[in-house]
Amino acid sequence: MTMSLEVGGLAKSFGGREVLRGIDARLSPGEIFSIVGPSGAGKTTFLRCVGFLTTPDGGSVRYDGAVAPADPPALLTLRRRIGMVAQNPFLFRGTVAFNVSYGLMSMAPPSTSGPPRRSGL
Amino acid sequence: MAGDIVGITLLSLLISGTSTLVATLVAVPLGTFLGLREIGSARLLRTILFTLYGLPPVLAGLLVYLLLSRPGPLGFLGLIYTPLGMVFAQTLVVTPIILGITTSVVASVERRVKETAFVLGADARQLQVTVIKEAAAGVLTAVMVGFGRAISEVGAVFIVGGHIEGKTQVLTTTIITDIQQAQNEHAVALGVILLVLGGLVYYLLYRLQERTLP
Repeated sequence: MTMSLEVGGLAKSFGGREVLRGIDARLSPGEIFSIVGPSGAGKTTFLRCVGFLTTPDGGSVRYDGAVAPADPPALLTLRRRIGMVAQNPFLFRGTVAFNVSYGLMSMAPPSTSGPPRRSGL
Repeated sequence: MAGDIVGITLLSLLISGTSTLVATLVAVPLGTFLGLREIGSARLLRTILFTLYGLPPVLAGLLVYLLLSRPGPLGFLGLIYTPLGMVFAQTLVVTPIILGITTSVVASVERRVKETAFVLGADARQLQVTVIKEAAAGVLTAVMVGFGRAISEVGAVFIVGGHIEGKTQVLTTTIITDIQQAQNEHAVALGVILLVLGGLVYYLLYRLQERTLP
């Protein structure tokens, strides 16, 4: 973590099934934090709520002490500081270089976009 | 005889190619739009379009005939029994097919691609571009299926075109009239041309599809 993260009372249900209820957590910059639990416990749902992939039903998530901004450009900037590796990763059509550099290309200014030419990949 | 076969073949290609092109221009952007959105109205629209997916060509031909015939609402255009009217009818048959497949392909690609692109920092526009690139091969399949339906279609073009010698004869309608007139050899020859033509176009589109893959 390069930022602090505070989760308070996080709640999420799917079709009446309560997956997360009152989850609290506090993570400091540089801290390695493990979430352990059996399959279906809600570990992934928790990460998805923190990473903006799922909207929680209740509770709060604070990034460096502030809630996520509503302004789309500011939210995008915050979102780009959070990485997540999926359990079943998806590979884009194209070269290894394209897949490896996709994140960098997304964040780069338009003039510098495009896969790296001398990557050796 | 050879001259009329060439003319019939070229007209078949022209009508099927034009209707597939028009259907592609309408259906691919609309299908991409619908595939990218999961809103209620789009779902309803998709349900309606999937119903049209199975539209019988004869019924499409009948609808276009009623529209374009002299007393019909578009009768003043004078398109009945013309190649342009046949294009209109075939476009009506092909558009839902290309639209349905494109919507499904984009929606299925979107689900898989979206989260990966999202966590890698893609914004809304970059996400859409990535989804469209990933769906390109599937969209080409939709165009291939659409062309296959157009070139093999007979009911709609027969009703709207009227199978007028030297004017609106196409391969499929000529095969039917040949059989009715016991000109089986001629019908078989046209059938072979139809098969080769379809194979050739599929091959070209397949090569194009391969180029979109890594």
